[in-house]
Amino acid sequence: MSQAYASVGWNRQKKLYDLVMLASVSVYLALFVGIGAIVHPNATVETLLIRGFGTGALLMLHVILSIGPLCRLAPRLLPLLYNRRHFGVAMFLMALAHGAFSLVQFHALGDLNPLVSVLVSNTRYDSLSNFPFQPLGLIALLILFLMAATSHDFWLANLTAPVWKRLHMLVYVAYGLIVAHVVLGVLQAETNRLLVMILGTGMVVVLGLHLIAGWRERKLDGTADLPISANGFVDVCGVEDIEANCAKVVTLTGERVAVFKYDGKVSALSNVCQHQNGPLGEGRIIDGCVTCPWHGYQYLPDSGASPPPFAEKVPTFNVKVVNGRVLIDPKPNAPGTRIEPAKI
Amino acid sequence: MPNNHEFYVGYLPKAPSGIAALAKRSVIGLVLLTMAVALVLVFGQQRFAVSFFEFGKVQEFQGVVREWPIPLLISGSTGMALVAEGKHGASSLVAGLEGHSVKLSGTLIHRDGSEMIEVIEGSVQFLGKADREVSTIEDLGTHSLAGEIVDSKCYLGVMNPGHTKPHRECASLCIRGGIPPMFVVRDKSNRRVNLWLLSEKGEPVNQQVLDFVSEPLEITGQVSRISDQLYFRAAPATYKRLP
Amino acid sequence: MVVAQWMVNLAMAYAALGVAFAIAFVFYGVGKIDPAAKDAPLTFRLLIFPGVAALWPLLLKRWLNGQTLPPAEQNAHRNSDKSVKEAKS
Repeated sequence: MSQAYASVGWNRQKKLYDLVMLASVSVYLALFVGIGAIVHPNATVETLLIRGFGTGALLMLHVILSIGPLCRLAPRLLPLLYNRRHFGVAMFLMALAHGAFSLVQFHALGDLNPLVSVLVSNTRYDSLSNFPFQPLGLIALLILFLMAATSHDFWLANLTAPVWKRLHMLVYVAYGLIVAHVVLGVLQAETNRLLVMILGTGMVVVLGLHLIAGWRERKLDGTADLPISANGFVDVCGVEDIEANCAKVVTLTGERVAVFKYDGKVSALSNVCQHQNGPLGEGRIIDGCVTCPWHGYQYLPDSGASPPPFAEKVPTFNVKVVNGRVLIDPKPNAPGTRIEPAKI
Repeated sequence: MPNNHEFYVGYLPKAPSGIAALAKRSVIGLVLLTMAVALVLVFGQQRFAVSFFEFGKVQEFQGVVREWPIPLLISGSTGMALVAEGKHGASSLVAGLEGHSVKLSGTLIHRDGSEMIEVIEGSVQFLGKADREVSTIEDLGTHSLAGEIVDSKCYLGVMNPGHTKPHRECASLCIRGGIPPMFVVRDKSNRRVNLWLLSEKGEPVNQQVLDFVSEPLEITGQVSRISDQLYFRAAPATYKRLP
Repeated sequence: MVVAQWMVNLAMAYAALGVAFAIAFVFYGVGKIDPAAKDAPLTFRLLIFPGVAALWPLLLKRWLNGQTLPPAEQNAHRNSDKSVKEAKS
């Protein structure tokens, strides 16, 4: 954080990520609008663009939402997560184009303010099948805007990661609203069952992956009740249970702790990366530093502090190794407090 | 065999080979999925109506104005409805010109043989009083018809699709702005028939139908014909929503 | 209709105030509340502009309160670390 903010911290992987993503978006739009114009010569360009941007954004949202649980289930897919924020911003821009074209097409040049028209031109708030679907899309777009607008690391630092994450959890509200927007909107007019099946499959994939990943996480946290010995330390595992340069994750004082083994030593620090609250315990020791699996933020294992010039700090824990067992004091030390590693 | 010890750090220039290969396979899969979804959606959409808005092609039209209740330009035995630009009716453009011969510029909108002109504001030129009565009214009796209220401008070609629920908000805004509401029904041979919807007294009914546009309705009323235009007079309070 | 008109008017007024605030904030205020933003490039300032216009009351409050650092994160470990406990007792 003491590092000045850049607009984007570009590196090769981010460039590759964005290049592939933008190419895919272009291919989608080219196919949808290009082939659409040939197959449906009577369709207007505006209609094809509105539909292309809308369906494209929805497809992107499904992929974005699936990446999270997929990476929990298979960490080797983490490259898909690495620059997901740009993916999200691109998805918002597609949704914005869909919304803006629709606002102009359906609500401009009338007797009402276009935004007022979105809210009042369909009066059937009393009906389910006739329920106004456009305000649902508008609310979803506002949520996606808020997320895209706060995607820079400046916002992570200034809202703090837990608040930022809660804000970005609104994506699930937006997803629900968008599904309702589609079901109560275009699917009320289109008769092809295939369209319903595609949306249904997407929902099952997103929901299913979240349920499976969530179920696995619960199992992990279920192993929380470890006995506290007389001197207040908790026996968390045997030294041999931890792989070299990796960590074992246990839950102490209401949050996960990462217990790292490296260079014949053991250190324990809070599992929660300060950047985006990524799981440090699923990271590795690289160049002597605990390295977060999500974006590579690094911390010295004994102090929980990022090496200069960086200023991130996480809480550390007192640790002992007695008879091959790793013992941890469950009371955290202030973030960045150096604790002598336990020698094996 | 995947190497589970590989670890990906995004800011390092090269990803470990196993992870890079998996990422490549995932990306190829996603691109194929993207293409498949695009194609399925392109072919899965409903067919679009054969309707036209000759945007950018301004023509000159000549005929006799019928101002009330639906602004029309009668040319020979054909009537062409008149609307203004945007989501607005043409009443003010032809006010006071009932039965007069005029020349005007506009853009043609047409579907299923029904024609409409989007009149360019200020282009209507008075040519003289028409020398004969332009219309006779033919009463076609009372009918109960199932159909949908559309805004005639979008439905006849300015938008495609210009009816059903996704278009409802636009239809409502157009009708609010004076575009004549049209009741679209199917006849016995399943052909679409367009009727101008009026109040039971034969007056414009725009502001009373806003709650009913773009949904299945049954309306009972009096059908009549003036030249080639069909009119449907019914009290909005008697419209019945169909499930 | 009246309610909708009011909602839109309020949203527009909020956004207009946000845009006005954001112009001052991204070029001047941001460096006051977050030292890492002091020497950040123009593109960074433009990137945070929409978010500043949306969340302006929060940032205005920090600026007026004279806060010079981003807030500390709250979680179970940070809230119960030994220094916090000692400070409380």
